Amino acid sequence: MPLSIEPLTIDVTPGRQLGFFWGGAALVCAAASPIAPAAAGALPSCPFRMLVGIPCLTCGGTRALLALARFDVGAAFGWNPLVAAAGILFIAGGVVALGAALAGGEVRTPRPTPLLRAALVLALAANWAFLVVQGR
Amino acid sequence: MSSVPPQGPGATPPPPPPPYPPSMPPPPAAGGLPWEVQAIGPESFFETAKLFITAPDQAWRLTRETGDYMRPLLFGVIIGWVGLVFRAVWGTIFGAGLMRMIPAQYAGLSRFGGGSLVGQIVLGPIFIAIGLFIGAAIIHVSFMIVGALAQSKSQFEGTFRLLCYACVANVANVIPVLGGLAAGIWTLYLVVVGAQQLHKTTQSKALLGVLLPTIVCCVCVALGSIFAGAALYRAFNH
Repeated sequence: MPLSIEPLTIDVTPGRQLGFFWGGAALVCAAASPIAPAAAGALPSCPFRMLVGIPCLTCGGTRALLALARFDVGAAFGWNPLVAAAGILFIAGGVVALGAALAGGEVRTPRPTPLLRAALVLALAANWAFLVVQGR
Repeated sequence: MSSVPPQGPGATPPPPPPPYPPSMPPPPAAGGLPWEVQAIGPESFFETAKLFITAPDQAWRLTRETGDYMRPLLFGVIIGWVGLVFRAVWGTIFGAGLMRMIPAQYAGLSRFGGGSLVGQIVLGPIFIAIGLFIGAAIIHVSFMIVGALAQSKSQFEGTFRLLCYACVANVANVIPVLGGLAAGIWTLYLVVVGAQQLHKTTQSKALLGVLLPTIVCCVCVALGSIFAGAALYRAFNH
C-alpha cells in the first residue's frame, strides 16, 4: 500500500486559508506572550547603536512587543511606534481574519499602489526620525 | 489584395520571433510541481525537494502562482523541521564550545537558541509555520517598497510560496557549524530566482526586495554576526 494521502482536496479557498492561518498564528503568538520576557532577555544590545551612536530602525522593537504583551499600548508606541503598530495589526488583524474565515469570508491582501508604497517609505522614515529624536 | 507574403528566390524570410527580454523570467512550464499535482506523500515530497536542489529555475517555472496555501506550508514546515533537528543536534554538541569563543555580550544568544533539544524539536513545526507567515509578510512589504509586485498576480500568496519552497535550503543544516550560513545564502538565492518567476519582476528588484529587510531592519543582526564572526576568527587564530 503506497504511503500517501490520496486524494487530499482542500475545498477552502486561498483567501479563507489565509484567514485561518493568520488567525492561528496570531492566537499562538498571543498565547506565548507570557514567556516573551525570558526569550527577550537573551537578546544582545544593538550593535548598530554601539557602532554608530544612533538607534537603528528596529531599536526598541523588542521592548515595544514586551510592552504590548503587558497590554501597555502607550509604552509600546513610546519604544517603537512602527513595531507597536505592526504587532497590533498582526494580533488584531489575525483575530478579525479568523472571524471572517469562520464566517465564510475571504482575506484579501492590498494591491501595491504608488500611494501605499509612498506611505510605507514615509512610515519607515518617520519612525526612524522619532527614534533618533527620542534617543531610544 | 492578398495577404500572403511573396514566395520565391528573392523573397526575404520572415524575421524570427523576438527573444524574451533578458531581465524578465521565461514563461511558466506546463505541468506543475510533483508536490502540487500529485498526492501528498514521500515520493512527491522528495521529487519536489530534488527539483529545487538540482534545478531551481525549472522548479520555480513549475510552481503555481496561486491556488493553495496549505501544500507549500506543509512542504516548508517538513523540510524546515528536518533542518531544525540537525541544527538543534549540532547546537547541543558544538554550541557550548563555540559560545565560549565569542564575546560575553553575545553569550545570551545560546539561550535564545531555544531551550531544550526536545522542546525545539517538538515545538519546531509551530514556530516554523509562524516564522514563514511573519517572514513572508516582511518580505512582501519589502517587495512592495521596491516595486517588485507591479506585474504580480499572486501577491502575498506568491511571496508566501517563495519562502515555503525556499525552505529546501535548510537541508544545508546537515553540515555542522557552517550549515546555517550556507542555508541562509542558499535561501537568498532561491528566493531571488523564485521572485523573478512568481512575481514577474527583475533580478535587481527581487534582490533588493529580499535584502531590504536585512539592510533596514536586521542591520543589528548583520553587525552582530560580523562581530561574532570576527571574534571566532580571532579565537581560532590564537
